[in-house]
Amino acid sequence: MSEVMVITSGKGGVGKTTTAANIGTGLAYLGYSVVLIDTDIGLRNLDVVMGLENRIIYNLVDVVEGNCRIKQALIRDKRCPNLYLLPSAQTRDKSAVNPEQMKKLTDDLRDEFDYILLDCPAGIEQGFQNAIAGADRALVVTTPEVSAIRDADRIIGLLEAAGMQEIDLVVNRIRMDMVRRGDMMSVEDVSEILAINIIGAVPDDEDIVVSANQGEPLVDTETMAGQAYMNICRRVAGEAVPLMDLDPRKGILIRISSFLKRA
Amino acid sequence: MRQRFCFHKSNSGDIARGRLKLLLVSDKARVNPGLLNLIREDMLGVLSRYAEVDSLNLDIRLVRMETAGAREPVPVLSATFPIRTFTKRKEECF
Repeated sequence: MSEVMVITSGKGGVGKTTTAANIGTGLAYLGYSVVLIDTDIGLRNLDVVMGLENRIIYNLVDVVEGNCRIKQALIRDKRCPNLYLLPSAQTRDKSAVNPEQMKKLTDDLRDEFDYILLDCPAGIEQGFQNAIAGADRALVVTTPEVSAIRDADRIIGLLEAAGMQEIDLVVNRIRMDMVRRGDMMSVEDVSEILAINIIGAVPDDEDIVVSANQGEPLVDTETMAGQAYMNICRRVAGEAVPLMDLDPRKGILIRISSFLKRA
Repeated sequence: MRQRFCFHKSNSGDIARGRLKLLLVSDKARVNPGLLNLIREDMLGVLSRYAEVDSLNLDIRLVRMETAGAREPVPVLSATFPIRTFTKRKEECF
């Protein structure tokens, strides 16, 4: 039942790596055995977001080139014993690996893991082609901005052309105050434009910055973003979880006033 | 649900700065940071045969240094192992 899932976006800086780290960690919390693979050769970052940068000895390219066995390169997470990271190489470039090698690698990992998550580099060149080669499904990450959604649309087209079975969308960095003012596209707007299943929306939360500073994914913490990521994990695993209300304001007076403003 | 975070929020910028400094040095030296940990453990093992090392305050890092004959600075391993006492070796007991 193991599944290979690529996390991609086209545009850089929309939160692919943060999403990969949190979904990987969240799935591990749910009890699945998970491996996160950083496929961004030359610009690795997933190790830093996971707080595992000081444990790297071998990397993805070492495995592909046969310098070490897969098990030697896998780094066990600090807190989850069922979560591993396969870091990327920092001193090589995308041409160090080809799609066939990536497919073989992910297929080899299917025996050991329930979920194999690939953090894809930005762009549509070889790094992207490598990352999607062995994937069964894709999570496309976007933000409610014109440039990011345009790139997401292009990526979805490329994924469909490559025969990707299942494609879901994560809308990241939603600011409900701006949506309410009409200054930001809503999750519904994005869904309508891209005509693709939305698997979750994550609020723009300053806790994300704190979590990245510390190298500890915030999934399942008592933060809005932490809960949003946990809900995405449950949906990835097939649970039906309703989309959460991202509005942090709870008071009845505020609700009435915003209702009156809308009317 | 897990507790918010292990650290106090206001410290996280300092944590980020410390992590980043280490990262940039190992990136420039083109060495995996984990390798430094391995060297640290090995050196600690060797030194512990001769002395009691204050392992909490030891410092091992890569720095870049100008060297005669090299066009650009080369990575240099700099290690400080504070020693509490030198242990007496068996042959010296006689």
